[in-house]
Amino acid sequence: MNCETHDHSLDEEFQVIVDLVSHDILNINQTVLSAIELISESSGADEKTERHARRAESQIRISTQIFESMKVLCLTDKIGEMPSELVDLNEAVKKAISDATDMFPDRRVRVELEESEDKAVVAGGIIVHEVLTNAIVGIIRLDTSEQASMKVRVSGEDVHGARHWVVRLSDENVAVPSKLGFKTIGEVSIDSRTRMGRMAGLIMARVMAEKLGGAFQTEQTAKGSVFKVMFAGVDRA
Amino acid sequence: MTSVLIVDDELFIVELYRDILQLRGYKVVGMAFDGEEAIRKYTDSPDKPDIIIMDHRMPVMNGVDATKEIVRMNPTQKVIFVSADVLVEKEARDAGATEFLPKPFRMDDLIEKMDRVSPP
Repeated sequence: MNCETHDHSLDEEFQVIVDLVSHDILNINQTVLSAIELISESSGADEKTERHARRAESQIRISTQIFESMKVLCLTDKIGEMPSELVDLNEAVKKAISDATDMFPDRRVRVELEESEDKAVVAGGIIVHEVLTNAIVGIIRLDTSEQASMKVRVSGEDVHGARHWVVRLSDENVAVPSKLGFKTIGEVSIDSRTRMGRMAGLIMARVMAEKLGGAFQTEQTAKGSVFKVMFAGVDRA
Repeated sequence: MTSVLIVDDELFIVELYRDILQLRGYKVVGMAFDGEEAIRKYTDSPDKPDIIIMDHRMPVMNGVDATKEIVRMNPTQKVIFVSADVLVEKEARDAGATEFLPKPFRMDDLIEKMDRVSPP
């Protein structure tokens, strides 16, 4: 997943196309979302219609997230560097949980955050939010149980001698088998030969995390998936 | 009744905002499809709208420039900026926008912001 090409002019054309497509899709999504709201508000909308309306809204919100991330990812490629703005990771996690769960008005979703007393600061500005939101949304989508359930914890970890902050996202339902989690973000990625990649949001989360000098991986467990989003540490003060 | 001017280049969006806002008890006093038309309608209107809902990416003149001009004419004018360009938020606020909402949004979210800036 990279918007760079060898031909500079083609690269610029591609940036413009991504920008235009994303903008159009978000406007189209606004129209559809408002139309759904209008239909829901009109008299006679029964419970089933309401349920379908909530499902449609969820799909619109998820597609919006994917297009926004694509736009941000291509913009950072265009600029040639990732944002360096410092972010309070604990606050970023809280906002990502709130934004991600809002995307599922049609489902029962429980995301439990184990608050950390450590002050975790990472660099990456808006990209940090995109990584976390895409990760949480993607894991909820993988969880097909009646109530998606996830535990989130932020902790410090030394990786190859360098301090990292790790956001652990554990599937509490054991609804996302470890193997599925690993295959989705691990070995599949973007394979130009087989085109086996799926779940664009999860793949983009991995690409963005790596561009920030971190990683998005799964831990092998006997139960459900444990996803780890890793960010290079900036400050432990 | 709170009066509203809707500015967006997408006809369907303008019509949907209008219908939903009217259902919720707002008075839609005008619609414009680009920034220049918005300024013209604003200038020509003897009764200024309480709130302007302003899009950004429009032909002829964008929302930031239109907001700047309208707020220059009337510094107390309430403008709620709505855009699919999330990165334009700072520019919009610097231009004088009172609130910012990224598209797509629920009308409840827009109305919450409208209630916040509506005259008592």
